[in-house]
Amino acid sequence: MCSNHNDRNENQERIVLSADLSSVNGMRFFDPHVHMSSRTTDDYQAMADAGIVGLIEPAFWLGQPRTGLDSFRDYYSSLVGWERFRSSQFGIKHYCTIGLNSREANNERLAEQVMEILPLFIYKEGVVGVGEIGFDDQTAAEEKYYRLQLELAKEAEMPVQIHTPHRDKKKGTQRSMDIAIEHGIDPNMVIIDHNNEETVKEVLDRGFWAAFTIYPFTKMGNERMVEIVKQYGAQKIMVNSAADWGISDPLAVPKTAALMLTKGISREEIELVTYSNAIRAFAQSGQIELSDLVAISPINQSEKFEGNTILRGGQQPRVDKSSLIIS
Amino acid sequence: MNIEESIRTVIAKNLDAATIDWLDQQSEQIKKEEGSSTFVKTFSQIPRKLFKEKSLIETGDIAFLSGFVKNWSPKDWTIVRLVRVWIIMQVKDNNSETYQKKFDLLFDNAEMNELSALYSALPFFDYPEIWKDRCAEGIRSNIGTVLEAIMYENPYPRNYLDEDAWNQLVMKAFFTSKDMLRITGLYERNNLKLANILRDFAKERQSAGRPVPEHLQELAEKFNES
Repeated sequence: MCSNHNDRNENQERIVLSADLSSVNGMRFFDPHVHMSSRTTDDYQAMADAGIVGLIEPAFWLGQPRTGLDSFRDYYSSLVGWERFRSSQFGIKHYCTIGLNSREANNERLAEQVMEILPLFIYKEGVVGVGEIGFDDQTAAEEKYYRLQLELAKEAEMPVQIHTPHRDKKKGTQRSMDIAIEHGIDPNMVIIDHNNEETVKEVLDRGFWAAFTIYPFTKMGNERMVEIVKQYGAQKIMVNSAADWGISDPLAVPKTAALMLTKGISREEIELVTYSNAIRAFAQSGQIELSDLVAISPINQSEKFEGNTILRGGQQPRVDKSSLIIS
Repeated sequence: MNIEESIRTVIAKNLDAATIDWLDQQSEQIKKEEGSSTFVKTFSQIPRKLFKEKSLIETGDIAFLSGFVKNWSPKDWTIVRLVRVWIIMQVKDNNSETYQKKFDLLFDNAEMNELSALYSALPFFDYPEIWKDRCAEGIRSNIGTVLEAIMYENPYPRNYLDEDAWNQLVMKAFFTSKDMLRITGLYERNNLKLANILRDFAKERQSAGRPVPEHLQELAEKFNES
């Protein structure tokens, strides 16, 4: 807009508000790790537009510690209740994993109480695993509740979604895998998340699913992800956004797909890494019906929309964000 | 035949023998138990047991069942919901307080579809008077399917809600663009207080240059404050 002032132009980059996802128009995406409770309806709309037809929201912490059991219970309720409904308003199937996260496992008094209510939730419809559990600081308390929840997952015959620590990740990931094996969990039922170049080989070699979080600055980047897929192939690899309250991008999965296309990765491999591997891994819970996802037709972005068009049959009317007018 | 037996008949048409056996076994335990653990577990597990079963109730069966209860119809119900409501009917208790407590855990922790099923079952709970507060709470929900379960072809609100709570239901229905003609008792329960609220609401809409919902004026005009 301000193109008159040359000196300003040289120093400032024009901020583009949305990436061009037209190359992946018509493809379906599945984000197996995204904290939608922290995201707005703008995100849901953008995700629907970008072709995301299903997602998994893992139970996690809220950014500051919970102080009572009811907070956990109400949060779990919201994952299977209100958030699930909110997602359905945009035509996106919402699944979740339920568990006591590693950070809050350190509050042992509360952790004991939370363990008691987990069975109330993990058997509910649309709960596709125990998660996200694992290590944060790798304390004894974290280990205790990680083990207990592995046993719970084993008894319930549910997949396990494992959060690997961001500090001391390599050792923490190894320990997470060792303990899972020790408890007799089938690696094929375990999704190890937040992988990077240092962890991926062992995770794949030992038969686990390897999930990668495409998250700016602090986790995986998608150009690096391209290299990983080129090196290891697409088998048992999946990507997610883990979009939460931090600076993150709920469109990470479709953006990664679009980037992979430009970098010469085949459509078949892209489809595995951004859709079907995640579904296959978590469908072992018996709670994902593929026909539910296939029934959702991806939005054709080349279709023009009016200010209030209703998308995907009876869901939310669209708001025209480019207009100053709100009515 | 009563409504419970008629529901059981329809369920039997839609489920395989093994699942029906399991349901009957659970039902025996639920009828006898002092607490609610079998009930809660069974209720939550229904989708897992009926996982392949996604259908709605057949039109013929809807008509058949509707004949047993006045102003009621399981029109949009899935088989899963029908089974859940039948299971609710198996819960018994001689004391209204302990009876109600058996459902607290479910209401408080319900998943989206469980919650809709629970509110669908309002006409079938024992001790109907004690469910008025729950009903009013359900009307406060933002979950669309829950609101529809309370409002559509459900005689409970018409029969038991007091005037203020009824008025809230109607206003919420207009606000959330519900299909007003499906609300049981919309005309029978109309009242002066509601008519005044509706009249004000119509003025508000007109001032805003927004459309006045269908049927609103009609309801408002039935009472004229003189």
